[in-house]
Amino acid sequence: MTQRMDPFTVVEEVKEYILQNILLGVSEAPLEPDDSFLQRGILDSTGVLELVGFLEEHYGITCADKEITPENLDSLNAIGAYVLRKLNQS
Amino acid sequence: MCGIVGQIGPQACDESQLLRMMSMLTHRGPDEAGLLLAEGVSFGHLRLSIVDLRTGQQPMTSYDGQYWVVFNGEIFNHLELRQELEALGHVFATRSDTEVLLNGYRQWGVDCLNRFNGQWAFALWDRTDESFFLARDRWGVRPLFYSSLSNGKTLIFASELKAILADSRVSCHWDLKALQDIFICWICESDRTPLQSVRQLLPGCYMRFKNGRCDVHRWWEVDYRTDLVEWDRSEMSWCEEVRSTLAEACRIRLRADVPVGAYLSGGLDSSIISSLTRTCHPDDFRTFSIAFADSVHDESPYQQLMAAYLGTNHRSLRITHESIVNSFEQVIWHAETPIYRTAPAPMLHLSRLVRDSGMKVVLTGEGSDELFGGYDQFKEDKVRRFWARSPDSRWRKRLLDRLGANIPNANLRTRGFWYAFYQKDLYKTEHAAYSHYIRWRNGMSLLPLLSHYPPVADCAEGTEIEMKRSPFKMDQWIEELESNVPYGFDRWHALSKAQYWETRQYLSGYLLSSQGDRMAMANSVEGRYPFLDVNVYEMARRMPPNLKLSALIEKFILRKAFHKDLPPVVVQRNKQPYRSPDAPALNDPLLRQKLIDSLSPEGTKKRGLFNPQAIAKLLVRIEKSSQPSARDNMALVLVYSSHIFHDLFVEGKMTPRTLPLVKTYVNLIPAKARYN
Repeated sequence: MTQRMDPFTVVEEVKEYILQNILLGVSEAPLEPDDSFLQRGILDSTGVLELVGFLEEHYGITCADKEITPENLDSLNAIGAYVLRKLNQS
Repeated sequence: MCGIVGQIGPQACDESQLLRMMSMLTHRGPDEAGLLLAEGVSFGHLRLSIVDLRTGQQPMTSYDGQYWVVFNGEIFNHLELRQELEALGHVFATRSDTEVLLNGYRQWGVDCLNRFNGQWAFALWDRTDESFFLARDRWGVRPLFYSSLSNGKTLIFASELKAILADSRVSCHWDLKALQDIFICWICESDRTPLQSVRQLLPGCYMRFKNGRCDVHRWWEVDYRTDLVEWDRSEMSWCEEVRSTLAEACRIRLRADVPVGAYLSGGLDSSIISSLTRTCHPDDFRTFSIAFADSVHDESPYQQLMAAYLGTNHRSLRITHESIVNSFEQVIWHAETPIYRTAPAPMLHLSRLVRDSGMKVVLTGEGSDELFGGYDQFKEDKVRRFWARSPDSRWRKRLLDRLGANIPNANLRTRGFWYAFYQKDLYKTEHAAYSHYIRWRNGMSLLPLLSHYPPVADCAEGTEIEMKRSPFKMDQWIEELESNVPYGFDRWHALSKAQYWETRQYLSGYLLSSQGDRMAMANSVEGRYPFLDVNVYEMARRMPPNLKLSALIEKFILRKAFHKDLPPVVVQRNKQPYRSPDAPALNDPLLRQKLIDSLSPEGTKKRGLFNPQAIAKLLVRIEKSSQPSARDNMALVLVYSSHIFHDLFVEGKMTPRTLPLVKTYVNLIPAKARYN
């Protein structure tokens, strides 16, 4: 699965995860690929850990502590790029 | 302390209806009852006898019969005011502070409020011009709610919502904007209550009611203007003033004809109060505290230390998940609002312990954090402002790590992300409510749980809910609040601004009500708050802010002033916020059946307040998590307590309780009119 992953698939999968698990299936406005989770108040610190847990389990990657930053995880597009980088490294 | 009810106007209720209203408040005044009936006036009073047990009955009239009053509260400086009033020629027939109120109003009019040092809510009738004067204390220690009948000319008031709702002419529809506010900032903003038909007289406000016209005015407001600050005084001089002012605040709060005890949490504030009280109350001083099974919430080692240190007669109550779950409905019955934490529940049990110990009055430490900079919220504000001055600094933001409550210990991995969280709105330091943006935005993230989301527009009582499907405007919500601040607010010190919001919202809307008055009065116990003495406040506003929050040391001046009176470990320990288990208790596998039933898709749909799918997912998340997040905890308690409120107050019927003996019965209705 992970070998053929493309950024659009990652974005869609993560979006679905966030919508269902973090936003509990309800959202004020559509979640756009470049929306900042912090700006929209979507994630708290526990939410970030949950998200990291999902990425690690779902994509078989390991997120180093220093990688848990807004640059890598604060939007769907950022996550898509980050996950692909990690997959390409492995 | 007491309960008051009344109706004023052409449709004022008759005796049986008044008794029905009064019976809803028996817990506030189990010792005796009194009522006054006149044309267009019904006053009822439930008495918890504390001062002048023999002659302090109410409703009480002035010696010439011009004024009648129902009064809930205490005027702690009543002895001094009595002397002053006697010197001015006023006559007293009783020893009670109620009569001081009557004569004080006669002498000074509205300005009497500024002379009262205490906690009160009352309604006063002036028979000469048929006007009514209702007022509430500075901080909102004592509650006062009101409603008007559909003709708009009849006013109904009471210490609690339930007494107003006992009149079936009052409707009980949710105020969904108020519910939205509770989710955002944990209280109803402005004078709203969870019900459209009922308003509260805000702290520091009074109302005049005459001929169906109702005018509300503010007579007092927190004011931290900087020109009052005495910057040049020595620390030692401040320590002396803090000690003497607080000692006096405690001394006058021991004025009672029944024994006075204290809550002892093991923290700095209640330890100071107990220490000061022990000095002026050397015999058998009784203290009470809450202990928890889990070490996260438990402070009992400090409580035991302090009790032994002061030699108090101490009783501690161990709180379990079961005691929280089993009393939660009763908590909402008394709090009369959805709440965001279970923390009031242990306070309900504690007041029962006090009552079972034969006590009616306790001193507590509320107000210290607001006046002397005790909350992490203030530190967070200070660090963010410091960071905003040099946003690229790598180390300034690291000061946030010192706020234990904000950086969850287990989540050090997410630290980088967490800084970004606190960076939001970092540069808006000129905004009036800068200190509270993060808290409010956190609350706003829960709004999608509401089924009426995006939120509804204001709608008049009795009309169908009008949905406005425009996105919720967070900035607009904040701007509305920020536009309603005291004159000159922008020139206040940053700490003072944060103190203002904490006082305006959290202190009066939650601490003193849901967690304070309501949980104590549920068991007929009166709380008294020395830190909220007007002279303590006057001193605090003259004090330089850096003596309150010095660097990141909270309540610095209190630690300094009392370091010789308390064990070093109590003086030096960081503030431990009072909490109790939320989701872990409500969702305890052995105890959660009521929660599951209430929050089931059917239960959620039936009540119509929340999105059933979202609530189901919330439950799953909490179920799966060994340690639910702060946000999930809050969401669960808010949703569940909203459901309980709905069942009790929107759908429920007010069943009259047993009334205490009616000792005062005044009927001023002319005999002829009675039989018409």
